[in-house]
Amino acid sequence: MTGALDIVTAVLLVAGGLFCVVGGIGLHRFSEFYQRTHAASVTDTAGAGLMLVGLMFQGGISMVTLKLVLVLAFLLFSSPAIAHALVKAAHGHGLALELEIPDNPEKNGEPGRDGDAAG
Amino acid sequence: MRLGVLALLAAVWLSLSGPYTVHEWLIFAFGVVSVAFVWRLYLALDRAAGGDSEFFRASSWLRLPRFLVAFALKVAAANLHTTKLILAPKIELHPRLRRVPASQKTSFGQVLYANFITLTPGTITLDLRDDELLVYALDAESEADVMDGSMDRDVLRLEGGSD
Amino acid sequence: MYVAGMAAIVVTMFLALARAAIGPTVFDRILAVNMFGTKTVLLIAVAGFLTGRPEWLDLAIVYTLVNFTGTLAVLRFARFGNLARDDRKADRP
Repeated sequence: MTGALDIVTAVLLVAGGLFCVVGGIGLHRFSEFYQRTHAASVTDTAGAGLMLVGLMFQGGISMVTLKLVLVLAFLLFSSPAIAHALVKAAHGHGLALELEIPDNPEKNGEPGRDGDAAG
Repeated sequence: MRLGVLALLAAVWLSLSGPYTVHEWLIFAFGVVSVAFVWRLYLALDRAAGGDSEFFRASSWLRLPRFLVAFALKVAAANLHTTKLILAPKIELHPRLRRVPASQKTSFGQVLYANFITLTPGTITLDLRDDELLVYALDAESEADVMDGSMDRDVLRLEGGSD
Repeated sequence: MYVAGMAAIVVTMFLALARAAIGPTVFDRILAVNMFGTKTVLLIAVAGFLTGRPEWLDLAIVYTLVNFTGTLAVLRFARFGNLARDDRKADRP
């Protein structure tokens, strides 16, 4: 339980854990669904990324590290897909967005509504 | 590209099941069948998407490390900013929607750009249509990360188009 | 150090579960459950190292993929009440 690598792992694990908890707190402090997706994305990127990289230092150059890379890659591919699907479904469902600056997003029809090729 | 995907699938299967299974012919046969099936699925999806997945040429793989570094730095900075927003004594958000042009030539590049924006905490892609992204941002600073076009350039550089 | 990381993950899992319980919209619940699944993956990975059995990473990989497919399936079911229907026709659940 000593050595430089263990210290690096410990620091990364604790930092990742802190980001996870921060995301969990954000899930409760933010008042609206669309804002909460950002909090969830903190845990998915910083939390998971730091913890898995921390574990990679324990794995060394081996199959274990390769599998950790695969877990991280799958997470990084799937989490934006889920986030996008959720937000688009919510928007298409008509869940209201609280906006401060709308920037005329409706200029070519109602975005996010299904029923066209992009849906 | 297509053979590259096949090689990638085979490599993933071999690394997950261990090279020793080459000797166990039944397991190996299952592996060959599953790799072939997934490759076939990929070819069908590629055709359905218009067959313009010429994104990853061999040179793109060489540019991948630089992209990953840029990606990690951007995501880390956005994470720190969003953490600040979450832990602030008073939650202060200025949510906004923006249309952002996606200048990538291939649909793969545009999807990568959209995923990049979604992965960055503080910004999320609502829609991708007609080479334009509909981006929802938490506040002005998160929005500025996207609007300055640096992520767009990162993906463009990986794509190997106009630099 | 593993225990500290696991404690943080478990705390986050409880926060996510609480959000899944209070809602208020179905999308909040799906978001929270997906987050719970991601934390489960991390928990399995760290627990594998804690017990000296990194082979558990195979479970973590499978769980990542199942979590992805499962969340999409639940999202689709929540919107359309059906997993097989053509979604162009029905916009309301």
